[in-house]
Formats: sequence, structure tokens, C-alpha cells
Amino acid sequence: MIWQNNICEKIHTQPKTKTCVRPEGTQEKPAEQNARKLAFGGAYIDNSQNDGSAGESVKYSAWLDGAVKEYDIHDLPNGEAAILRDTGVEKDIIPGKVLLSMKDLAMNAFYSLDRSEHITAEVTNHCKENTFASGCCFVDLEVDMPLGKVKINNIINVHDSGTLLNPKLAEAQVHGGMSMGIGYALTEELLYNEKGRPLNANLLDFKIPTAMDCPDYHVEFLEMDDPMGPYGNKALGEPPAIPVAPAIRNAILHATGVSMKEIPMTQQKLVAAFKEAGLI
Amino acid sequence: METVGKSFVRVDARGKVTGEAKYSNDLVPKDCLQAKIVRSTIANGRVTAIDISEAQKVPGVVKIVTCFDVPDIQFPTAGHPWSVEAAHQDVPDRKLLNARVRQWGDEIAAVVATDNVAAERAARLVKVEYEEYDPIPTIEEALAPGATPLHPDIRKDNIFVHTSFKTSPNFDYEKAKQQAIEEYGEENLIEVEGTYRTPRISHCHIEVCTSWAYVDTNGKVTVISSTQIPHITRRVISQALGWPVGRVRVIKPYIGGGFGNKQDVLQEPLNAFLSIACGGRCVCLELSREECISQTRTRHAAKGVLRGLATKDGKLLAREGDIYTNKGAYASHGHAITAGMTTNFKDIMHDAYGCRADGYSVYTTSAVSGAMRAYGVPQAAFFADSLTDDICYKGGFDPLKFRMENCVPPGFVASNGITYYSYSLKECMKRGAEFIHWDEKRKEYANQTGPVRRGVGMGIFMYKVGVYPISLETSSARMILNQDGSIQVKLSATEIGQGADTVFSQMASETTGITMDNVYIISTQDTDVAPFDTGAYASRQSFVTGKAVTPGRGADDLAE
Amino acid sequence: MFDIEHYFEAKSVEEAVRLLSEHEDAEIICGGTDVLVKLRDGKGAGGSLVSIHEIPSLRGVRVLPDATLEIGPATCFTDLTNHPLIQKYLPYLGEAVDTVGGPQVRNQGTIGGNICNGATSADSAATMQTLNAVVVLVGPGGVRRVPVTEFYTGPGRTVRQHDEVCRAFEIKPEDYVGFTGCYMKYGKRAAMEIATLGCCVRVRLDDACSRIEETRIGYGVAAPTPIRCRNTEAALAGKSVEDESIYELIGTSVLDEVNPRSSWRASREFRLQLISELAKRALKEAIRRSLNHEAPGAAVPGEERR
Repeated sequence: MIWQNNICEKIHTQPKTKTCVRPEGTQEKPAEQNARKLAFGGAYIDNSQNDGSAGESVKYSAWLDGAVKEYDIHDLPNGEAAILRDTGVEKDIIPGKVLLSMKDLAMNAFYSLDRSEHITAEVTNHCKENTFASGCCFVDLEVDMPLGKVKINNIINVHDSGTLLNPKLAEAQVHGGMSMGIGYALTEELLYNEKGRPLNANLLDFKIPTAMDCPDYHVEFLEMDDPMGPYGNKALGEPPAIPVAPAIRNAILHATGVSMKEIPMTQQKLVAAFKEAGLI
Repeated sequence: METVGKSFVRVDARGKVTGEAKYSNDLVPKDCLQAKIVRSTIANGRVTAIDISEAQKVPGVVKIVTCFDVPDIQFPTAGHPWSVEAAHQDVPDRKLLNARVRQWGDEIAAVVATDNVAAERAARLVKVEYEEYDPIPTIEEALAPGATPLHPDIRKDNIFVHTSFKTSPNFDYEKAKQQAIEEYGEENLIEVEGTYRTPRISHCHIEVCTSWAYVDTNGKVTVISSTQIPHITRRVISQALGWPVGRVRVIKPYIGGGFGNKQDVLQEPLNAFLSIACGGRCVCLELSREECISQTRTRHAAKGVLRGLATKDGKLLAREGDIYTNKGAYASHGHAITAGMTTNFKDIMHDAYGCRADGYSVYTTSAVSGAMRAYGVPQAAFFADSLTDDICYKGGFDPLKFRMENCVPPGFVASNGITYYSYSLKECMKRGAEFIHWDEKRKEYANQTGPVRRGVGMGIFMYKVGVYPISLETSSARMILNQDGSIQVKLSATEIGQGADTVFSQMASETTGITMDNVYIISTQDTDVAPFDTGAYASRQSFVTGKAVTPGRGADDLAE
Repeated sequence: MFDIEHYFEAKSVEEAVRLLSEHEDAEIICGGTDVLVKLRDGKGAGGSLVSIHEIPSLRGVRVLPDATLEIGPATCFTDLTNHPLIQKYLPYLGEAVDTVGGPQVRNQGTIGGNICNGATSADSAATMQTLNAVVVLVGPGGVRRVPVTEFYTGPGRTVRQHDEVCRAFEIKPEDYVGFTGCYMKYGKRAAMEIATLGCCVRVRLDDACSRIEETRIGYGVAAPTPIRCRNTEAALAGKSVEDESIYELIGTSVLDEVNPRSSWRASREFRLQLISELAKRALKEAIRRSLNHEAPGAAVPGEERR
């Protein structure tokens, strides 16, 4: 990884970097797929000649705007790479050779006197595929039985939603879902009187968790590329809200031996259940 | 990959953090009128008369409309793509304002005035006479013999829909139990039964439900709304008004969350109607937080009467469940959530003999239940995971081991053909268990005394992406190259706070090679110009719309 | 927009009293954290407001020559918690009002409103009961002093007349010197919450820190108004701090002095459980603080150090 970054630094391009947890036996995408995608602008490293063994002098092709050059690159023992020389060989048209900058292309397309054609693309995807995302929640909590108070000491959601598109955003989605799950388990319920009139339809009496009620949320992702998703991705928007309430309910069962049949497991309901079970 | 897979800062971060981002209410013109809905104070009955004479005298009142003034058209509100097959269409069971009242707070009239104070004063002065019936707000009351059918034109009783799912056509729990007794001996079996319940809750998205509407000089009614489903809203408005779709326009600016509440058409058709009633003047209809909580949509409260059978060695043999959901006064998303709930309860575990799950959606005189984050599966997971742990507790099984051995297996194919391709549920469980130190804690917390007790617990789930094959999944994307080599990306997939704009920008950048700072995604969806998409729900957008944006499709077209 | 007909900004207490006398439909407003919520719900819509927000003499905390502490009713909760005099002499009051709502509410809401609204759930109420605070009222007829223990007439109702303004709360030295205390707020969530139960227990130990000389016990939401449990207080006098039976004693005895009701928010049985349990924990914490010469104050039940 250092080595690859080093080359990229020297020839001014972005390396491909990604770390993720992969279940045993799964494969990374082949380099060809990436090469095909970068048709215009930027740069890419064609290391199809590289068998990955350090210490060898390997040929790399790279190009910047307007030039396609080939470099000899040599591994150094300290893990860095040194560019020995520009071999002077200019490659012929190769996949990704720059003919024209995007800006020039666009200007031409708009304003050409004999061939003006605005470059657009419109596509409808009629999706006829589907698959499943999955995951789980584990929680470690304590119950102050005389007060019916639940304190979450540790909680994690583990998600398999395929390849992550944006890890930070993905994590944020999970945090939000976990907080909804906690409220669902412990405090949220809309109450009505016998005539069907709502009793607590306001933000004071309908108890969603506040920042002070939330433990540290831990999240892990297992990224298995899914063949159905456009980038190997699957559902993530909703799943985080699913497994949390059952996990909390089951942890209370483990802690106290009390099988709660209803959520939310409010303090009042817990105290009543503990009294009935002879625990307080 | 260059951009996909990277933690780019959200494209809308700056505007939203500084407060500069414009939401629906930030765009309301200065001379806009304000509307306030008059709501019923009974849960079940009929409006027999409305006297607006005192209300009309309040200075600033422009127009008052009642349930007797609206078109006699019943329309559906669900955020589902329309079906061309009549049997699958969403049920149209409400009008713009209702004379037949089926929930406390049902919409029976509306006041339009020059400001909200005048509108509220006038609304309080509207006098309503009712013919009142007994409320039936609970599932049990609505199903009791002799209970009034709430929609007799649609259903003969209050069961909106009843579906029955089984893992195999001949499966019967009692027969399976007999079989188990013969095979294992009664003393080697564990059975658990119980009634489990989940509550009705509210989404509490940070931005309330709000919209404003006007009719432009060409006779097109335009509604600017905080909605997850601009195209569907447009279609429903046209249905509710009896107007052609082309004469309706919906615009969605930034919205402050929805979580499924805004995956239904809420106050937009009424808002459009009020504008038309005021000669096309601009009218704003903002729901208060209290109205949002109790009078828009809620998550279905559910009751599961469940049974499960396992061997003393921890093999799950059979389960059955009768699951009832409280639909509330109107259909909204129909039976879809209950059906999904029941199927998911059945599918998440593998029963050696089989499983039966019946689902009943029940009309009651209470708040309307609709879509909310994960669409029936939070309830399903509570039912399945609680029953599982109760079986484990009774049988002395470790809940993790039991799930590893009895959960849905790899290669699972659902009855509608959806296949579980990339399966890692067991790996997820393993990772979670390691993190929480499951084995240690199960031992450490085994024999506690004292008032404070500790415990570890787990829950699992599976969740499908989007709504195929039950419903249509379609989405379009359009890209335009600008003179400076940057691109505009237009989608009708909606950013509702989940980060859709950001990931679509990343996808577009990944495939075209154009760097992120040169990708401009149009965040506002305007049905006049944005391509068609059904909206933000079902965790579908990055999956479905993503395919319109990516390799082999739009971006590649552009690249060529 | 709020439905307010007239808004008057009083420059002095006398002017506020005069405006209230002249306008029968006018209400006092200071921080507005209760008044505006009610207005938004339509209560008092179309009425008028007399603001006492800009009267400097109503803010702050002073020590009078005889060591009486005088608290300005227009002092917001944040200022109270951070005030050096409160931190030194009444830190448990500062910590009690620090449990109100959230930071924004605490920057606006005042102790005057907290008491004069008459709510049993007010977070300062239980502690003020134990302090025998005196409410100083100014009206058209002059000044009168009412002990806070005689101030409430029912849920949300007090003896304050429509045209009276609270000018100060006074706390005498015999009610605070030598005491440590603990206020426990029990709620369904940890912030943005109105108490399901509030319990304040203060103790004054003997010089050897071995016996309880005096106990004060106050509750919010254990009855229609904030209350004291004087019989239980008397029963604890003279007990040794090592005597473990005092916790069982307080937990049982208070149950005879409270009167909580069942509502959809909480059942009577649940409230009684909390009343009993919180009394034990608050007493234990108050004693512990005395023995450790710690800053006395409030605690979240269940999280006090064991």
C-alpha cells in the first residue's frame, strides 16, 4: 500500500485505496473493471504487467492531461518506490488515452457551427432484481430493578449491506437507526384514551431518546459485493432500526429471567414485572 | 474504485449546518395565505352539520371549506407506484375532507386566512354537529362480533386484508407437533406460546409536514412540499382533484427527514384544493408537530399470537403466528406492511417441519398506520427474536448457538423468487458476539443477586431491497455535460437526509471519471423537469437509481 | 405567530403591578418557557402579557446582613447553578435546577416561574420546600411574605393574586447552614423531561458527623402540590449514620405522607415504588456527602457512587 501510494504521489494521481472486512473466500474486483471506467481525465495505473513481487523493476503506464508516458519503476528496500526514468516510449491509443479535455469537448459540442450536439444521457432502470441484506445487534446492559431503569453499557450493530458507497454516511445511517431502535424498545408509544383521543401527541410526552439517553454506538460492516447492486451495494437505509429492540428485550431476559412480551419496556412495566417475579 | 467507497463529505453539508439550506417553509412568498385544518372531536361518527358563520366574521379569513364542499372522489394515499392491474391498486378510501369520521382528529373542514393567528381563531369558531357512534380504537374491539364496519363500501367487516403464508402448502402446526411427539417423544420437546405486542409510534422527523400551493397563469396547480415521493404525490393530487396529471406540478426542495411518514400523500391534495378554492392564490398548509404525530401516519401497532416448538437438543421444528396489525382509519399503504411482517417472521428462521404465519390488517377508529422505517420488519424481528429467546430460555439453549443452527440458511430463495445471493448473516453474528464478549458474559452474568442485574442479548434480521417483485421498481437518471466539462445529474430519487445526493454524485463520478467537485447534483425535484422515480423508500434508491447512474447505463452512455 | 393582543414591558415591579391591575386578561411573562407553550396550545389566546424580563432588581442572588439568602425570581436556571453564592451555600438547589429540560430552556426559564406556576413537578419545588423558602409578594396593597410550604392551594394554583408580582425568595440561615443535600429527579429520559418524581433529602449531622440532627424531606409529583414529610423527618432525628435501618425507615414512613395519583403518565403503584426507593437513595447520598465533606447537591438516581 505504501509503495502504491508512493508511485501515485510521484506521478500525481489518486491511488485506489479501500480497506474492508471480507468473509473468507471472497475476491476483490479485477483491475480491468476499474481501468475501463476511467475513460476521460485523471490518470490510472496500468499495472497488469506487475506480478507484485517487490524488488523488481516494473513498467507502469500513466498519463496526465495531454501526455501518455511509460515509466520504469523500481522497488526500494524501505518499501518506497523510485521512478528510474521515463522510458521515452509514448504509447499508442490505449484504453483511456486522452484525446481531448472534457472542457474542449463540451465547448465544441455546444458551439460547433457544423456539428452542435448537446451531450446528455438519459436512462431508465426498470429493476427486476432484488436480494436480502442482513445483520444483527448485540447489546450488554444493566437493569436497576427497583427503579426499572435500563442502562446500555455496550451495543453494536453488524451489517452486511454489500459494498459501502460512503462509509461515513453509512455509519451515520446506522447510528440513527440504532437510536430509533432504543426508543422503540424502551420509551416510545402513542397512547389513547378509551374514546380514541390521543393523549401524548407532543414532543414532551411522546418519549424519543435525547442525546443524553444514547450510549456510544458501535458499527461494523461486512462488505460482500453483491452481484445485484450497481456497485455491489444492498439496502442500508432501513435495516439499522430492526434488530435493536429485540436485542435489548433479550438482554433483559438474560439479566433478570423476565420474559417481556410487550415493547416498549417502560420503567413502569419493568417494575411491575420485577415485582410479579419476586425480584423486588 | 475512486469515489465510490470513500467517505466524501456530504454535498449538502454546508448549507444544512449553516442554516442556509432552503426547506419548503423557507420558500413561502410573503403574501401567502395560511390554512388551518378543522378536525373532528369524536373518533367514530358522521358530521351532520357545520356552521361557519361565526368563523367567517374573524378579520383576515379568506375562505372556509367543509367536507360538504369537496369533490366526491375517493383516492388512495399510499406512496406506491400505481399498478395497471385493478386487483393490485391501492385502495381509495378517503376524500379531501371527510363527512364520515373514522378517527379522532379526522379532517372535516379547513380555514384559509391572511395569517395563522386569524386562521386558528376562525378554526376554533367553526361549529360542528355529529351523529356519534361507539369508538372502536383497538384491534380486539374492531374484530368483536357486531362491530361497525368502518368502510362498508370496501369491506364487510374490519379486516382490511387477511393473508396466510406457509412454508409448504400442507404444513399444519398441530400435525407437525404430533409428528414431533412420535419422532422425538413428548419429553424431548420444548414448546413456547405467548402473545407479543409492539406499539404505535411516530416518526418524529425533524421537519414537520408542510406544503404550499398556487395555480400559475397557465392553470397548472403547483405544490411545493416536504415529501419523499414527488412524482407519486403529483399523481395522487390529480386523482383527488379529478385533474389531468399534466396540469399538476410538485416540487420538493430540501426536506428534513421523513422516515416513511412522507412516503404517503398527506396534506398536499387538500392544499392544492384550497389554493384552487381561493382563485389560485398561494396558500400554505403547515401541520403542527402535534398534528404530525397523531394525524399523519404511524408505525403499525402489532399483536402476535405465537407458538414455537423445538427439540431438547436445540433444533427448531415448527412455529406458527397469527399477527394482527392496527391499520387505523384508512388504508394508506394497505396490507403491504402486514404481509411483509408475516413473511419476514416466517423466513428469518428455518423450521425443520415448517411455519405458518397469518396476517390480518384491521381497520380501527384510530390514527392511520403507514410506512415507517423498515416497513413491518421491526415488528417481525421482535416477534421472531423474542419467541426464539423464550424457546432458548425454556430449553436452556445458548441464543447465539441456537440462531447459528436454525436461522435462515445461505442460498435461501423466497417464495417470490428473491434469492439471498451474498449471505453473511452468520458471519455478522460471529463478529457481533466477539465484540460484546458473548461467551464470557453469558457465564459471568449467570448467577446474580442484588438489585442491579446485567445481561447480554442479540437480535438478527434479513431485509430485502426495494419492492420488486411485489411492485414496480423503476427509476430514471439524466446527465448533461456543461461547457466547462462538469456534469449536471438529475434524478427524481429524493434526498431526505439519508445522503442520497452524495452517493449518487459519487456513483456518477466513479463511472464517468469526472471528479466529485465537477459533479453537480440537482437536489430539488420538480416534476416538470425531473425524470420519473417512485421516491425515497424501501432502501431502494442506491440500489435501483444507482443502476440508472452507473456502468453499463447512463454514465457509460455519457462516457461514450 | 403567537396570539397575543398586547405586550407590556414593565420597567419596575410597581409598574408591573399597576399593569396587571389594569388588565384583567394579562399574565406575567419572564423567560416564557411555560407561558409561550401554553399560548401555543391556545390557552390564553388573545390575551395580554406583562413582561418582568427587563427589571434588573429581580435578578441575582444576595446575602442579607442577617445571612438570609435572597434569590431574584427572574434569575434563570443557568445563572442560578453558576452563581457563586448558590454553589457555596445551596449547591443542591443549583444542581436541582440544572436538571430542567436542556441548556436552551435553562438559559431562559426562571426560578420565579418555576415556583409561581404552581406545578408540583417543578424541579426547584421539592428543594425549596425543604429550605422553608419564603415567597415575597408585591401587590397593590403592599408587600406580604408567604412560606413556600403554604404557597400552593392545588395543582397549578397558588395564593398569589392576579396582580401580585413575586419580588424575591428568602432562605434563612437556620434552614441551610450545616446541611448537605441531594435532589433526585426521576424521569423517563435523561433530558428534555418533566419529573415523574422529584425527591430532595437534606441532612444536618452533629459535629462528630455520627448522628442525624435534622432531616428535611421534600417531594414533587408525590401529591397535587409539592410537599414535606415532617413525620418522617422527626422519626429520623437522633439516628446514627451507621444505623442501616434508617433506609428501611425512610422508605416506609414517607409512604404514609404522600398522595400520588394514577394517570396515563404513571400509575399510583409505580409512583409509590419510586417515592420509597428515591427516599432511601437520596438519604444515603446526602449522608455520604456530609461524611466526605463533599459538595452537596443533586444526583441522577442509580448513578450516585455506590
